[in-house]
Amino acid sequence: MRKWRWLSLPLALVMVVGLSALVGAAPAGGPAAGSNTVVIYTQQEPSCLQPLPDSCQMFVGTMVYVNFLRDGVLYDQNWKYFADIMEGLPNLKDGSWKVLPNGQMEVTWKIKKGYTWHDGKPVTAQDWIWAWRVNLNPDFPTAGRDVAQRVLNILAPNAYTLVVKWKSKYAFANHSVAGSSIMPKHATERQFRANPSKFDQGAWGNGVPTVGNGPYVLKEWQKGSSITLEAYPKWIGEKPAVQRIVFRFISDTNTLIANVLSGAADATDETAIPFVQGLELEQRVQREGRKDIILEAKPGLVWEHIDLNVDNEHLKDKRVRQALLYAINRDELVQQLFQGKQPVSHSWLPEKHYAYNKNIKKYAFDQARARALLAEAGYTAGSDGVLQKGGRRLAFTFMTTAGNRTRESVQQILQTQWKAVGVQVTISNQPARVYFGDTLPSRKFEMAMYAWVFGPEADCEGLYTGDTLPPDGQNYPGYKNDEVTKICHAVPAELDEAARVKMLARMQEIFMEDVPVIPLYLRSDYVSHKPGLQKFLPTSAGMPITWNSPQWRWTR
Amino acid sequence: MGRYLARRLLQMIPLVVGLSVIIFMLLAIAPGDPVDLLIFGNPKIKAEDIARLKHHYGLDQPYHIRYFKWMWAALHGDLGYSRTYKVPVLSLMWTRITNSLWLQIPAFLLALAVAIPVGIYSALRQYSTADYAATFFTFFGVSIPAFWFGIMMIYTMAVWHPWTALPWMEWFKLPAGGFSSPGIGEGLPKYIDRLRYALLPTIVLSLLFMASYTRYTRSSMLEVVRQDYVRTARAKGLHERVVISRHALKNAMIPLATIVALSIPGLFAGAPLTETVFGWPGVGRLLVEATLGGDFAVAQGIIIFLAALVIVFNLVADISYAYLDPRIRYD
Repeated sequence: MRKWRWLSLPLALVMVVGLSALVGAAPAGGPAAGSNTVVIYTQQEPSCLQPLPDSCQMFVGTMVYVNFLRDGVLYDQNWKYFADIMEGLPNLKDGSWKVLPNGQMEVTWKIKKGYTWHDGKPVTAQDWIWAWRVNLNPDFPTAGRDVAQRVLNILAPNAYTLVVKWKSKYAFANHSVAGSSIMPKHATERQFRANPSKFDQGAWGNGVPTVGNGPYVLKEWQKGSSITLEAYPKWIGEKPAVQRIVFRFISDTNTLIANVLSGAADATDETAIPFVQGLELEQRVQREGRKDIILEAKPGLVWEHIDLNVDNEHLKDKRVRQALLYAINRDELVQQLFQGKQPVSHSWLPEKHYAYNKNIKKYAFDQARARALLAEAGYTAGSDGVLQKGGRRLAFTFMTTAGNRTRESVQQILQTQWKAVGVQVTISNQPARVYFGDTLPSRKFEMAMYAWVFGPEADCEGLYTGDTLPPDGQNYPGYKNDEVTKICHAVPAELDEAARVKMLARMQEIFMEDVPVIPLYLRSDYVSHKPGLQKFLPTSAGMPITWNSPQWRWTR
Repeated sequence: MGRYLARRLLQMIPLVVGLSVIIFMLLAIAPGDPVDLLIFGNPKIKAEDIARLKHHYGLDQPYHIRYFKWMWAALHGDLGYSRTYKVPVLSLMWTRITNSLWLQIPAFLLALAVAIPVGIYSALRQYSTADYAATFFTFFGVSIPAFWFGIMMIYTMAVWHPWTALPWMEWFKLPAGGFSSPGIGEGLPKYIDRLRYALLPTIVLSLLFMASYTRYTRSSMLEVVRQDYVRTARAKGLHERVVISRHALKNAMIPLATIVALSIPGLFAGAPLTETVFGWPGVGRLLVEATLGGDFAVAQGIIIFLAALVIVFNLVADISYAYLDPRIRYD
């Protein structure tokens, strides 16, 4: 008996734990850190907190800085743009947006008076002009200059008026003042002028703003751990009901989910919980009858697709590309893998996009049609069951990012379905860095699966224009169609939305007839929040969950 | 000894330089530089802007020029600038190494404090119940993946925590990952708060250390207690405690001391898996993120620093061996 005595302590511990489990410990349902605070968990830490430097284009960065840096325009959960610290959005009807006889445009913005930077200095027209100048300075490493380069000049007739002159017609001239956000001239000018090429290594240029102008103030950034914002008392817009917002960064998804389950997270953003784990979490929450977590997944603007290299000896034939699309059952795929929560996409534009063409050719699953098209293209069955033409087997290498479990599952399903019609597909995946850094830009692929992230105003210029094959753009399939190229270049310059819809409808029609890309599905991102957090309205698009943070409040 | 030391120190110079060349080239020639990765999400970026960015970061220069520029700056104490974190690499590394040491040193000391007595006891009572229990524990510790054990600890201590229903036990509902509570302030509250966050990852890390050190101590002790000099000590009529502590233990510790010395660079390297699971901003996690994110300056700085540490601590292990084992002399 003596020799088992050493077991008594662990046994006693187990009993204590077991007994106290019977007492029960319900996870907290209320705010994690009091009714004045919202704690948001996310996976990635932003590298910087203002949009200009090249490495600051991260979604999570926007989620944080939209609270303390406001540049005039936002959009809501219905993807409707609205003016924020401006009097209103310029428009063609009231003359605030004019097309000049020489084809240039003049857009006038009126800034509301009374908004201040967090150091007390007023927000004026000069702050937008300054940001635009910095963005266009060749010594400063910025990447987002496409819109800024369309602007000819900006005048400020007074401190609260901006007159932006555009070089030519641009359809989205009222979605951003000059494509360069805002920067406090008084706080950054001296440093920038001293050495523009080193500006990215000092305050502001390094992405950490010393002052903001939004409803919240950047209070503390514990690198690698959290960012804390506090309400700015002099904000003259809608007063924030929640005094403090805390962003916490946990890179491991399981740990992050543990924080959701333990009640430590009041909310999570779109990047926090990958879809498959979100689905599992949703099932668990339902199974356990938990009322303290609300999980939502809405399809957004992230489009999963397969680029077909149209220069490939087989893929250059449109009938082969169409057959590949007919041969796969995408409805079954999204049902099997995602319980239908990530819908099949039938075009490169998502259904929620203003110019989505509902009447597009949809390519329902039809293996007989696929076989017929391949036969028509001259393919006959080889001795091993794989189709061949002129001794060349109909075989492809199918690539995606290695280690992405969802994409790997999709590959396996599609591989089996293509095999059923005599197409041999070999899976060969690569690390993201090699895949995106080398394979795609140098077009060393036959079939490549990945996603594009679009904005509500996305168009096809740069993506499917015949003159933007790498390195001049990102037309990775190498698709060339003169009518499509013409439309894609013309869309951003067409001011009439109805006309743009018509143009993009035609483009989608041609595109889906040619099938240089196989549309798969639209990704849905899970966001979670506690039921007590009111007015939490995710956009499922590029605008992060915090777009309306001053409206958030806890129910009592 | 002095000459030996001088020779070894001189040998270290070409070794570190050679390593720096290999590390630099491996990172530089890997496909996809930071600008390539950056432009991928931006279909409207123009070729001229890509060229401008590559020029700004010096990525358009030949590899050897880039290497010499980097080496020259490194010799002047400048390891470069982190593109991702927007701070000098040296200060970033220092912060992250300090964070890692917050976990590694307590875990290491805890592991030694448990492993040495358990290993000795286990060896002295070979095939006893306690020995089987210790052996089971060490196999468990060596075999269990750190990330799984970490997640289990989080679920038990941060999600499930049934004991918090008992009075005075609320403190033992530990945070499910992270580094510190926002707005906790400075001084004692900060350290108490940090302790709560560090507790679980420290336990996970120490289990890994503990398991292997227990194995080493046990096997080393088993070997020593069978030696003639231990039998002689017993035959002289010495008390068992003296035989073990003066004659057996001292000799059994020689291999362990070497292993411990060689483990020290590893403490500075952090623990990527444990740090990732617990959201701890340590240097291990930083290295993984920098490598995947193409933040070359950071990855290079950390790898070269760690390589230099390994070289230095190899020398320390060799020297300590000479002090511990009188049979070894370096001439």
